[in-house]
Amino acid sequence: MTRISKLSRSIKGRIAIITGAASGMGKATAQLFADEGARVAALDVNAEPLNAVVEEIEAAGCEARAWTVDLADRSAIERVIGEIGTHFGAIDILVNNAGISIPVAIDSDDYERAWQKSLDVLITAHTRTIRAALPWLRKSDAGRIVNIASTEGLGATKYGSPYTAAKHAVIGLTRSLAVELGAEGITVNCICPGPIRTGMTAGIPEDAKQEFARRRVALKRYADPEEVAHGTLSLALPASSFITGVALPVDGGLTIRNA
Amino acid sequence: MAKAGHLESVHGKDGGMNLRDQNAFVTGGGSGIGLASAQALARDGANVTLFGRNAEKLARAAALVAEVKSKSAEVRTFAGDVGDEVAVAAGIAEATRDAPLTIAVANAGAGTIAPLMSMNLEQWDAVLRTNLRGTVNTFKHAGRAIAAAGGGAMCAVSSIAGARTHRFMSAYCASKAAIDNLVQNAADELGAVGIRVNSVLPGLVDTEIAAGLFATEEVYADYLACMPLGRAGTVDDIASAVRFLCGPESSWITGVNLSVDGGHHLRRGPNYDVFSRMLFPDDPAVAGEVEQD
Repeated sequence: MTRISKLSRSIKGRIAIITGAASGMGKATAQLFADEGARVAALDVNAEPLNAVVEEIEAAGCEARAWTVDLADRSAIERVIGEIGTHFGAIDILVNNAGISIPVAIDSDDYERAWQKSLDVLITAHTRTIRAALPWLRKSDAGRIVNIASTEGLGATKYGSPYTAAKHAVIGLTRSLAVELGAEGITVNCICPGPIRTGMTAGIPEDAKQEFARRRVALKRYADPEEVAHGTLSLALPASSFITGVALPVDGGLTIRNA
Repeated sequence: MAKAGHLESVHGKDGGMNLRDQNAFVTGGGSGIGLASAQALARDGANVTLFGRNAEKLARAAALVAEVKSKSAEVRTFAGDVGDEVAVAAGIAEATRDAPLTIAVANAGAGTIAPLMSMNLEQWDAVLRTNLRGTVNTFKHAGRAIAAAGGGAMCAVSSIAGARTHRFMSAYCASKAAIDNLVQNAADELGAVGIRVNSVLPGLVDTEIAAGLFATEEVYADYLACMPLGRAGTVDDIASAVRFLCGPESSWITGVNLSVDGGHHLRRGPNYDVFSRMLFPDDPAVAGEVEQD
């Protein structure tokens, strides 16, 4: 059938970088993007689980390639993004998903280390991947940057100050770059995932999860990582060409009730 | 092909999950964003009922939806005023004649330009009736039907006017801000019955209702200057977001007011001074307005 609309809801053949792809939301995003026909560059610091994700994608008949990289290492980021661009000949989509959470009280002796490590991975790395990928994104006809922030970017939890501050910063970075890169047609958005079943929340007992969901979450449950990946996919589509600078909660309604 | 993901899903012919077996009700479906949203839903397989005041316009729109719909999708129309609760309830009854309702798009909208200090309150009431009461009518009756069906999604079409000032359009702005608040409350309340509720906030979009904004060079240039993406939106841009928020892809998104405006919400609202000076030269607030940067 002839299409009468111009904007595609497909990422088939698009080159997508996904950081933190070895587990949780990053893994689900790599799987979904690969399922949808994207050529996926999967990045993570943990080589073994990352390779397993890529093998699983390839076994399903889709395309992905693993790059093991520590996102706290600037020169490694530049080298790897360069390799990805050269390998695929293009970069269309950058998903800054990798994250860590180090709970710490403000008066802890460990605070300086927790703060530095958190900001290195959660915000500084974003600027570095974006700067390295930008020459390639500029050549794309639908350049897309999707940063994974958090509902912590909209609200706050005690003992989370490095994480919360960094996630607020992700929203600020997203908005500023949306304004800066808009004229070039590159969209920059972020997603604020809410309660999700990932490694980061695996330590929360099931009954505590259910009580939290019942009291705080409009949809009364925790979500699977793939549900967040679909939000990311939507912002990465060529059809999402008019959405930029947005912080999109994907949180089952958590932040409407209590940030 | 085997799926690498964990959730089984049926995908449409051009990416995105299929909406077969979904049944949608769209207000203001006769033109613009409502029509484009209906097309986007029907293209992916949803049945669609177009609701609007003008039966002839709805019939023309239904033909345009039929041109792009997937083979199995059905298209219906129902003429009525969205501000009239009885009419909306009757429209929902028509939409649910053969299948349960799973999607509603509260799109019908109206606007007016009037200085606050000389506003005719009947104009205010008329705008609030269509925009806010119309959305409440839709959420109430579609909500009942969707809850009875076991859950689904509702999406309101709000506006950047709900988030940024538009001088001399306070009725329109207040009605859209109220819609965004209603969406959040409805989402929090209806999550328990499996209904997600979200809104999209379009910026400048090429529709009938915005023709005057495109035609006035000064206003159009000001819009573009405040939009990072530097272009006007199309109805397809907005419909694509509506389609996303109504489909299974957004299963974890509720209570969200999503800007679809080329980044305009990061800047100030538009400058309509050329209109206000022409229409209301004697209003003290118009006379007192100074040039903006």
